[in-house]
Amino acid sequence: MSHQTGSAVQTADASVGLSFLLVSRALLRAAIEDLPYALRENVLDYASFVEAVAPERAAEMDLELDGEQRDRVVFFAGLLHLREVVAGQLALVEVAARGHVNRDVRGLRIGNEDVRPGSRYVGRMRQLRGELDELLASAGLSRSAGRLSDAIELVVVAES
Amino acid sequence: MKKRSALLEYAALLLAVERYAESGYDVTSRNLVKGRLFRVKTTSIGHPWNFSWYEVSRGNRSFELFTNAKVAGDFQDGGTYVVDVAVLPAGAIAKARGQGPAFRGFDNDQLLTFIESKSLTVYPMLLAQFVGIALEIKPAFVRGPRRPRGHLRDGHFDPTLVALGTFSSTADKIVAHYPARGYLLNIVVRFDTEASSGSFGTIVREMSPRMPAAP
Repeated sequence: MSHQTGSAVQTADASVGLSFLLVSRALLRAAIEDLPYALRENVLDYASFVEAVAPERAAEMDLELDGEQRDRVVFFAGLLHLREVVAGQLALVEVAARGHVNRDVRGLRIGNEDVRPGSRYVGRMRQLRGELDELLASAGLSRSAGRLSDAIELVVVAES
Repeated sequence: MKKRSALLEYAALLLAVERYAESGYDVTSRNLVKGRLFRVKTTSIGHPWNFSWYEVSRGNRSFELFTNAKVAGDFQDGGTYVVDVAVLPAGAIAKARGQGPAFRGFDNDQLLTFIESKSLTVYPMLLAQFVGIALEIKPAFVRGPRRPRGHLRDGHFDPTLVALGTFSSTADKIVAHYPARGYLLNIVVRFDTEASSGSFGTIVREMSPRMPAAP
């Protein structure tokens, strides 16, 4: 598998998954291009924020990031943020879809879409969450990982 | 993200419903659509009687809980605001329906309390905005320590901000000073984490005014 970054082409060692890919904000954008616009922009805004603060956060951890490492941190932090957003939305969907307090309610109608425990929307959210868990697990990030420091640690530790 | 906002607002509505349920109110859904689906009002557009709402009742007291309700501000300057979750007296929506197309929003004295929801980290400016909203709509909760008559008796919660994120920067320190300032406001963070547990019980019991301990 090879990926083109802003400055070079890097071939990945398949046996170590994503950790050693030269990934970047551009790749993050490509990875989320099929998501709804607002969600995509939410993740990219977060990626811009991470780009700015990652070196400082790493310094607080007594670590130093070079340019390529910062790119990888942006990528993984962006995916972690996406997973957090999706997980949060899934939690709300599941609370709403099961009717919660009042059992007479079988689900929701939002605009033209029905949200119920077995609806396509709920299924899509669960699938997306599962795919993100799988993708991040293959890179060495657990289900509980969610912080910028987790992404920094992954990138730095993977290369040590 | 419209759906995300709508889900967050509906979850905030359920939080309000659960608060009243914990206080001994019976809960009934109203105006469900086909398939027993709750039709969520997601914007300021549309008449409230065309959407679903919850009614809570205890003894001779009943209230209606509704999303995206347009209400008049407190200062009688013509300002109207759309609150994410409104608590209104029973019959408010029927009364609105009676006005038909002329309905321009609920009167300010019909709004007993409210919730604002944000898919954001709670940062200082967001808190300042919420205080400003409370000042415009229900100033009693930020201008002095006295709640409106009947607020405690009927088990209403204080105006509440619900957020998906956590506190950032000095935001938590700001909120810690609210009681000293006389602000009667709730700030709920990591709302989705609580929702994923399947119950809002912890939040409900910690919202001000605190509910009496169970016997």
